[in-house]
Amino acid sequence: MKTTLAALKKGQKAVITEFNIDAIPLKLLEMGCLPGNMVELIQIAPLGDPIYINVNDSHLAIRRETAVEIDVEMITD
Amino acid sequence: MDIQELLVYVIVAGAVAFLIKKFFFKKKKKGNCGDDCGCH
Amino acid sequence: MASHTIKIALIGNPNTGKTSVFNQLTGLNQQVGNYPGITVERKVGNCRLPGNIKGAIIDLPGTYSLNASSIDENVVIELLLNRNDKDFPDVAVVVTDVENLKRNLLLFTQIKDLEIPTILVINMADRMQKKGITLDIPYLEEQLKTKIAVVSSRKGTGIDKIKDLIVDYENLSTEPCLHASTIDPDYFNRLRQAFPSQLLYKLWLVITQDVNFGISEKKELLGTSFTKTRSELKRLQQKETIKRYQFINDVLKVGQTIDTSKANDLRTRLDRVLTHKVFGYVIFFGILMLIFQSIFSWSEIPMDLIDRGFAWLGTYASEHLPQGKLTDLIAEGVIPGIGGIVIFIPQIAFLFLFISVLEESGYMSRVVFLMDKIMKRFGLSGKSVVPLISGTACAIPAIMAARNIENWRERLITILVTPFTTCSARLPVYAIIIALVIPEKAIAGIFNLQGLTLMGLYLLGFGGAILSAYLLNKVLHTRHKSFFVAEMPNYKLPLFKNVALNVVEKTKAFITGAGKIILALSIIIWFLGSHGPGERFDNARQIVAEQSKAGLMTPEQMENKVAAYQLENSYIGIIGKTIEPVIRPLGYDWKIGIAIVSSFAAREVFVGTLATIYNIGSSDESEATIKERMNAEVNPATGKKVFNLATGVSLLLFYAFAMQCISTLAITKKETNSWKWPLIQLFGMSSFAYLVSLIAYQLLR
Repeated sequence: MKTTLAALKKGQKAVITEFNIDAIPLKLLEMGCLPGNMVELIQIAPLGDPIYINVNDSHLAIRRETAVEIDVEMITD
Repeated sequence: MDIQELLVYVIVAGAVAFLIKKFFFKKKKKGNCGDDCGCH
Repeated sequence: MASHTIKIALIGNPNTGKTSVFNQLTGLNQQVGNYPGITVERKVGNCRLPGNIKGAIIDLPGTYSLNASSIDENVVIELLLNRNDKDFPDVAVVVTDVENLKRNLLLFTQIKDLEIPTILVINMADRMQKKGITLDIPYLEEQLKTKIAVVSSRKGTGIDKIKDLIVDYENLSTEPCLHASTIDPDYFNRLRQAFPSQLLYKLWLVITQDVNFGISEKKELLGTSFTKTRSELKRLQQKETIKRYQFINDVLKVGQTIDTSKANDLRTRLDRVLTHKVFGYVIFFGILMLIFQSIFSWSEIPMDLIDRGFAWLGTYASEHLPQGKLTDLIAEGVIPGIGGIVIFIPQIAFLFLFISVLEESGYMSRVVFLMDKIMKRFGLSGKSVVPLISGTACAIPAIMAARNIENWRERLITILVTPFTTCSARLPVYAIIIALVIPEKAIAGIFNLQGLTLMGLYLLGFGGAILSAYLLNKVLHTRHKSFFVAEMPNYKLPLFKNVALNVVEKTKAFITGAGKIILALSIIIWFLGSHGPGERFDNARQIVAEQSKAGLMTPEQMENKVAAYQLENSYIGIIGKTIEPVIRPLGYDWKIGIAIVSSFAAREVFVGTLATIYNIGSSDESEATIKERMNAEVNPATGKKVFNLATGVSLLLFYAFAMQCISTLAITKKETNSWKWPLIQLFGMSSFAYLVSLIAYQLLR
């Protein structure tokens, strides 16, 4: 199922398929947020933003406005 | 003028010189990045 | 060979224990300074290597890659690209965390491309077993074309291996791990032909970075066909990053095995509690309360001792040194001046202690995560929490801590509002005025009214910061996009040695930085207070004697009157009297005026100045503390106490909001690279302070 990173629920995993490179900071790419890598949503902040993800073994917090720019393919298991 | 008084003037002059140096002559080198440094 | 000092650069991602490795290698043998012209901390240490060879280690700021996104990271690149720099390393030591090897190796492969002899340190080896990680070191060494030291900076193991490898640095391979140029062969071939003598990867970095490297090629490159649009460059950088990760993944697939069944879930469990929607905030505010409570109750005793100690020392000096002006200067200017600095040590040390424990443990990142949404509403970032909390110690390191904020607008607002938070320099001012004007009584049985007032002032500071952030957010328009990426590091037990060194360094920096200014000002204020123009000052004794012919005075009363008359006609008295009309509506007399003027350099000078003024103004030799002297001060016109409730509250509010710290203005100028923002801080904050104090005094009078 195709969706964006922002739509994941706590504990769900997905694979990054594509993103709008101009809306993503280079630092995020360097942390391993790249097409083909698996991403897991670990926690959502109490007020709904930011989100806490594990991508490529990097544990990061990013804002929803960035997460909506990242397309993912959900892993169903 | 006794020696104590002389020393006092020297010390006070030193303190003034220190402050002037500290606040007015410190901008010898400028930072070498533009005003959008660290934000892209 | 033995006479040669090996220059070593320590490089690594943040949170890899790089500083612990540095501390292990150098011990106490380190100096902290600044890079010329910028405020980035420059840490250098010496270490003794096998074979009696000396090593000079430079601990570079933590960075995720060689693509700089902050001034701190620029320092790393500028050094590694400039072979003529005096610090240019003979050997680079890249520190990585065994649990984040994949990401950490990205930086390693970039440094390898610069063809500098590089040693790979895999740190936190003590966690390998727990996490089920095994490494094939010979394979990794072969693939990464380097030598590896597996260390645990926590346990102190493997440090000797690093030293052995450093000594042997000439035998390290300088061959790159992979060829980044394959991401756009055509472009890179043209580049190679145009600059045959230069390293290809170095040219690429020069093209992609926005910074000045002191490299002549930068000018040549600009305006040629080699420049590309930002978007094109970013696409290439993405390709480069993907290529590097492909290489790293291939290497680690064979060289690293992780038994996932052993994955420890401490992080998950702690995160569940610490970022919980209720407990998360409860714990955070609990920790804040604990910090403030302990700072005040724990530092009270040493502060009191210091206060009394210096009062005694001043008396001792004036009694035992030979009579004369120099003795006066020492007893009335220098000793109270130094006392005014030393008294800060306990509180500052405690604050830095807590802040460095919170940062080292990884908890601070969770606070950033919890607070981001709330802070964003006020134009700030979750990362602004760190400057705002650090601001309770001192605004200077706090403003520097704002560098971690990626978004320029959020960073600027954070810098502008941080000085509102109650820094430790305000504390002595608050402490003495509260003690004078707020009665010491209990409210609801348990809360102390004086304590509540102090807490109220802290909240007022935070409130001022948040409110002005909100206003600035409405007013400021910038073209920058909002980015926010925060690493959530593993939880770690803070290392005592790291925390202790950090506390000592920060405290020392404060004492030597602000301390010298305070001491110099104390000397000048003493001089201005004990000298005056004209005969009114010189012949004070005679004039006073003539005026009070009728009244019979004890010799002691006479001395006091002469001293007071002299002060009034001294240089500082004249300055104070001149500004009195401006500050009278706020309820201040000319003596307070002098203290306010001198504290424009630094707030804490206020108490020191009053101490100096009252020391000069009264001739009695008893070792009364500043507080006792201030309490005894009476307005000669009304006969009422000078430090009454209305004046006290007005002063408290003035110090809460006014921008009275030249060092903070200087740091704002440096960090924003413009005079505009520090001037806005100065006038905005100070006029707001004047207005609020005016209203408060007029209402309470």
